[in-house]
Amino acid sequence: MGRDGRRLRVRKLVAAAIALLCAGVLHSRAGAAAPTYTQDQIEAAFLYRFAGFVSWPRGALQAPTFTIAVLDDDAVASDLARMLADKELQGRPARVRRITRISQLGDAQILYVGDSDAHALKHWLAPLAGRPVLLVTSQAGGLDDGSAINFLIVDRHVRFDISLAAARRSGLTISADLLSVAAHIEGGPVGSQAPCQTQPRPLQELACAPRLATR
Amino acid sequence: MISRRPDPLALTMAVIAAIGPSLVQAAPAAAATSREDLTQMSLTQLSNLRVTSVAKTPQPLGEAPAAVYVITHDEIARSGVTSLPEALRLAPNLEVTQVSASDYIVSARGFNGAPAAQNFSNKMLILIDGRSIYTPLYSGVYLDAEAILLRDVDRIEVISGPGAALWGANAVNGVINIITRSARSTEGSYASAGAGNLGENLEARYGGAVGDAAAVRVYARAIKRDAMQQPDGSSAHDDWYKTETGFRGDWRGTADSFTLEGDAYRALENQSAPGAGDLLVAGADALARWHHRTERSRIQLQVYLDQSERREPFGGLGFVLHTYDVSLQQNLNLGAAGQLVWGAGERVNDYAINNTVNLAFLPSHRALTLGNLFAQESFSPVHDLTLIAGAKLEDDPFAGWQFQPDARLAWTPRASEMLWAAASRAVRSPTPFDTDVVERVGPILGLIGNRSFQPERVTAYELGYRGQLANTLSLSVSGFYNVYDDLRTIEPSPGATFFPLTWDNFMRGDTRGVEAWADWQVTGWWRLSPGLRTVSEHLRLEPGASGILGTAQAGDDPRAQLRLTSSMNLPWRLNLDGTLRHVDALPDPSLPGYWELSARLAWQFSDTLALSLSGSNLLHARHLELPAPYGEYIDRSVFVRADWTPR
Repeated sequence: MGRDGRRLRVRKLVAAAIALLCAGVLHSRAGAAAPTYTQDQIEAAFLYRFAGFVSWPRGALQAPTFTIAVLDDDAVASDLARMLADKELQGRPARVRRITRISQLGDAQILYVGDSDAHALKHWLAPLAGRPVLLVTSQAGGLDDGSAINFLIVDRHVRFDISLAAARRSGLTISADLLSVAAHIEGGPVGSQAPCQTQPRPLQELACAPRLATR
Repeated sequence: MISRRPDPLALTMAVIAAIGPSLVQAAPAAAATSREDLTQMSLTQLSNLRVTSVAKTPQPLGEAPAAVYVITHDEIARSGVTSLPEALRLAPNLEVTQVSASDYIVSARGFNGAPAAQNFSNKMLILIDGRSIYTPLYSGVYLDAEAILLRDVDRIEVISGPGAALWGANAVNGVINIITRSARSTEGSYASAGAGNLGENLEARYGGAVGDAAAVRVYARAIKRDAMQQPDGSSAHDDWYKTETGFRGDWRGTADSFTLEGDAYRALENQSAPGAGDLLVAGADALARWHHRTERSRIQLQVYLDQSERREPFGGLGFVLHTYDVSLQQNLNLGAAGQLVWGAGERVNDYAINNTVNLAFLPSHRALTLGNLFAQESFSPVHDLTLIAGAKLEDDPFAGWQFQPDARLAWTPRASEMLWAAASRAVRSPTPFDTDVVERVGPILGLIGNRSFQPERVTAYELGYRGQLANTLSLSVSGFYNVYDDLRTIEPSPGATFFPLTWDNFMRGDTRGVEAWADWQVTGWWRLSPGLRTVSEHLRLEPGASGILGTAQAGDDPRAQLRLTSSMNLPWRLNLDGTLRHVDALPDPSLPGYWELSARLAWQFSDTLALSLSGSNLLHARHLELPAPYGEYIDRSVFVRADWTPR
């Protein structure tokens, strides 16, 4: 008796799950008319736009093309390649270069590092110190590891933090228009004392204090 | 038992068949809309776009709608712990009991077992880099086995509550995921030596790059633990030592990555009586994982082999267990239709037991196969709401197909807040210890296994809140109401007046409780982390039960547990950390509650050398965490340590 009752409950549960799932699918199809984007697509679009708000030192723009290198992220590279077809950046044809190691960077002006091992980032980026390359990352703690712009998700929107210090080290100037859209700016004249506390962060990043300490 | 295999399979297959195609159809339609417009948008417009799916990485568990506590690498380092079970104590939602120098019990939400009833904590699943380390012989975990260098652990995700829909059987009251760092993140040398009144530690690791895209590390570790001294001055004879070694290699290309890792360990443990000889604990494992990422999907194929062995001295009880496991998992990004994870796996547990007169398994050798299939869909039907529904089907070697569904709802009114609710089911599957055991007490046949023993079952209902209350304060609170059925009891076997005893499923009931923790960054240099866990168990025996050992055989759990951790960054590169913890009284057999304190002072002497002094159980010269005769007195300990990381 008890077993039959339980089986019945399982059936009800499964039936309810089917109903819920179907309802969800129908709903989402109905809502498909509104434009939808993945994080990859939005980040790719930002990468394209960033080029217009950053000034590179003269020597960095001698190549005939403007190149955005994408390390270890096929999804962003594909989206970007579609967007950049027939486009110009800084008065030059724009190109995407997919790379798997920093040494393949070549004359690229922007380097995007996608979903990488967070702890490897710092190590990888070390050889780039002082080179006129805009480093863009998409992971928690990206700025701490030396990148100039780091994407983050805030309430399902793609936002980014900017490190003025990192940009300066690369000899780049970031325009005020770009700064005004940033979620948070580090290394500026104000707010650089306690970066962990000035901005609400995802919960996991509260590990901030120990991270500072172990350095 | 045969008649109970059945329809859940058919039903779930029907669910997958029904929803699968519609989901796949929905995806391209959604993805096709207006991608080209993105380049025309201003920075502000881009900032205002809503992301349909965050597909960068699989959702970090810390953000999942579940009671998850993530023990970070830094938390482990700053606590000064030197063993895995001590590290698990950092999770406020776990109940960790030290039994002796080598033995710990880990459980969540009660059910820590009862040694008198030969009931061991068996409702937790523990995985190291995706390799399950529970022993299929009794579904528990031997925490003295395994090789792990805490220095290379990236994080430990501790989920209290069922996790069966993704992880499978025995994830009844929780899942512990130990995740080590990629070899590409651990390049360089590291060596550490430490000594204290209860033992010594020596460990070293070397990691190096192999080209630009790959890296390898190797490590070795040796530990020695001294016997606990008892109040009458005698020794508990629980001293032991262990050597461990292992490697991990990671390669990463544009769309593919590959990991290969392996470990080996060997320990000798004194047997709690003079002249009893040493228990041998040894094992080795190897795991390979391939990961392929495309624009809309991630596929993971994983294979591992694991050998573990325990042998009592002088030809006593022992076993050798070989585990072979292969699993496949795919995460599909379906655009507006959400995200689908599905997977399948097969495991073979091949064991041979060296029986003794007093304790035997019949048959003493088996090869148990365990197949599984799971799917989980997560989507947002309405703004701010996420629904996750999934189930795992497992073909258990003893109990047949088990259906373990899970449904979760998360409401995220703001990026910094989440309210969630969940309902899920999980089972603790029968084991050879339930079905095959034969125990003798002198001439008497004391206990025989029950071939028709049923899985222990739970249906769990949970409600939780997680939020950032202020820039410096975050909070997680969750409550659970778990309904258990078919819990194991000990009964006279059919026809017998008392002996031989056997197992049956005559207990049921419910548990309820709260798990809460917070993080308060008091100032830039000082952080406080309180934690609380309560559980009240309302168990009863079903009609027909003999009542032998009562409901206490399920567990002897403290009703509440508190902790307060303080982390300070002091000048002169000093760190001071401490944890005060309270464990409530144990009911039956009874043990008074206790307070204990651990602390660590660390000094980063130079960029390459760090020195630390730490102490555990500082408030008492010795204390019991499990009542005698089952637990030994645990002595106060101090430990000094030097860590060297050359540039």
